Amino acid sequence: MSSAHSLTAVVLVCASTALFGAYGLRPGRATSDFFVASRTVSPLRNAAAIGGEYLSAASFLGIAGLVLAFGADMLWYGIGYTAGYLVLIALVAAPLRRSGAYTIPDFAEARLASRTVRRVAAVLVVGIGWLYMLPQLHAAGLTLRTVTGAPLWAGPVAVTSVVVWVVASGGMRSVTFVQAFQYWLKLTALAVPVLFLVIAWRADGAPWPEGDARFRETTEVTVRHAVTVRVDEPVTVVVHGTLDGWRLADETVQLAAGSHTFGGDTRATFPAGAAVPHPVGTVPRDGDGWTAPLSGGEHPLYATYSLLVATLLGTMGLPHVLVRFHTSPDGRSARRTTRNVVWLLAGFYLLPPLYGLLGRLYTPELLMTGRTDATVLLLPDRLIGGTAGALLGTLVVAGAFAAFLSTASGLTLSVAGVLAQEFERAVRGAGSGRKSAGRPGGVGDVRAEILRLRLSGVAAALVPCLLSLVVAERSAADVVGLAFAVAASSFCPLLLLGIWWRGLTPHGAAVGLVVGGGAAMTAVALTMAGEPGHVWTAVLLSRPAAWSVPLTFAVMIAVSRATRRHIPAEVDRTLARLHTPETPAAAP
Amino acid sequence: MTADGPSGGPAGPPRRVVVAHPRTLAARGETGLAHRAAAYAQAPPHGPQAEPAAGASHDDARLRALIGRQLRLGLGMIGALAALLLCIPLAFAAVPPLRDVRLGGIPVSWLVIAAALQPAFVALGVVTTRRAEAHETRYLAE
Repeated sequence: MSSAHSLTAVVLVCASTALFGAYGLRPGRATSDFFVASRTVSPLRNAAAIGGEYLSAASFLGIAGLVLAFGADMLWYGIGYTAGYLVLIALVAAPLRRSGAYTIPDFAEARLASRTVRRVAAVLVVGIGWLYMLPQLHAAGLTLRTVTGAPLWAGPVAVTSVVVWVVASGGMRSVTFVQAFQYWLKLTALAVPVLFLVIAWRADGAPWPEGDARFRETTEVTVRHAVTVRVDEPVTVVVHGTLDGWRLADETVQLAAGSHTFGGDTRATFPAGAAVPHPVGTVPRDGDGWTAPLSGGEHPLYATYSLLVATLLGTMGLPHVLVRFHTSPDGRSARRTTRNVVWLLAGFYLLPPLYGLLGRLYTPELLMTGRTDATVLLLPDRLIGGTAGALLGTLVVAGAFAAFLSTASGLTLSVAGVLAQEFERAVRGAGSGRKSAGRPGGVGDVRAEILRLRLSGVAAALVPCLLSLVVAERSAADVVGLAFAVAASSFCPLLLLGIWWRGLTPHGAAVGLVVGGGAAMTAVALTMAGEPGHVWTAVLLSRPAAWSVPLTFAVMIAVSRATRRHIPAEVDRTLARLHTPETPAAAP
Repeated sequence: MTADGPSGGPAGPPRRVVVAHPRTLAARGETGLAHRAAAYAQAPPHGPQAEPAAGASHDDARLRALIGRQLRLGLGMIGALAALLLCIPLAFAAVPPLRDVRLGGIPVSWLVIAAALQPAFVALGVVTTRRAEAHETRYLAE
């Protein structure tokens, strides 16, 4: 891959994102501007902005990588990522916009008049936001290394720097511009290359990946980090680097069946037709298990359903998506925005499975290194080659960076907003007398507030950056799936019950968030720390939504029933506010 | 998409308005939680850009009927979605030969999951939006 072109693309995307960010900087604006672009954004542009913010590393690189490795069962990721917005159209978008709450903690406090619920919700927003950030940063590291050979920490540091700059200087207004642009960039960056890739695939006889993953041609595999792989059939390879502790310089060796360890920075050339060795500990899919659904892995039916529950119900709990509804002028246009998001996403998610399919055929060596998320980046060069391949590869890299930057800045802004509010409360709690003596709502207040937001933005971006350097890398779509599971197990019940059931009490909501959200968080932490031995335990922990979402609903309803006399006094007026439609002044 | 312009605002370019966040109210010294919750509940329902409905002092029964209709619509749509998403994996689980059926060399399972569902979602979204808006229009006309 032409690293000069790709590096230029990365720099261009970063620079244009940063410039858009600075362009949005106009001093003296009220916080509502900083936050939600003063609610003057049309449904199509807002939908593109939601799409731009939502399509993260998981969608752009991760789904294709998972399809490459595990096949048909992974196609459900794209389905769930779209269908979540249908639930938003049906039950959440319009009432939430009418609530006037900017964040889920705001909604919780307004609906339940409880600071405790607010605080629990704030902790969960920060947790989900940071969990969601990790795969973005890891994918940035993987991308930069794939195209330029830069060290793994370079990507996270680059993305964090741009995000801090954007969030600190422009806020949401600039982000809306940037996000809408980045949706179209991401769509183009996958759609244009895939046309050429499919043409090349048809010229190759349109093969379907049957049987085990095999090298189609003589392939040089570069192993950057030491990996122990299992070889099932003896194969003759040329190795330059370290193999099983021996230093080899372009020597031809016969690998016997069994496990072999390739050292870091080792190149191995496999002959055409050889089976791709898999890292020890992973369960490779053979041809049938890859092509047919529910044919490989442990308890695939439960895993499929749990994934669907998480993605369907988790979308409404993503902090960076929710705040976008407030850029719509009213509830009705928030609903229309969501409808537009569905078709923008439906178009986009047709593409990643094609990359996964072609990746299985033409970049099978990624199965050996385990970095399957790189397949989208490698395919144009591998399948088309030449100048055209390099240019298409550059386009894909630009789209990938757009994905990391847009999601990361949206998340950072949301987390920053919540942190700033909690921080402000802490400050005011410490010196309550002083604050009320200041000019109420004056310029100083606004400046101080924006300063707090900026400082929170820096904190919100730096913590996940540091985390990404210590937490082990997993597939991007996998980790994002976990963040969805936590959101589905906490905020989905809070929002659905809060909007539609007048019986919800602060006690019920708080206990439900702590128990359900806590259980899902614990499952995620255990999964990220390492696979437990028992098969069912591992499946239940790595796909928690199917049990944790009903658990949260049950706890919230049961505790609310038991504490019925704590139903907020204002509940009827609040619900009327959520559900009363606006008068359409220019109705057709 | 011209029909999608902000429906709540007056004709012409959208007005720029200052929207008071609960936090701003708090900064103005109205820190009592109960006070703020009450102010929130009494504020005009949709912010300054959308005028409150003509009968803003709506009678509860009418609004409750609207809430019921919207809830039934929403749950019905989610039921349809759930049935769709429940049945496809179940079909593959119950009838294993289905997993290997191919159409022009491509497994039908891939065509159904990766290609056919997304257009169905678009249709569901359009229908639900239209019906929810019809409910609201009817409520406002009553």
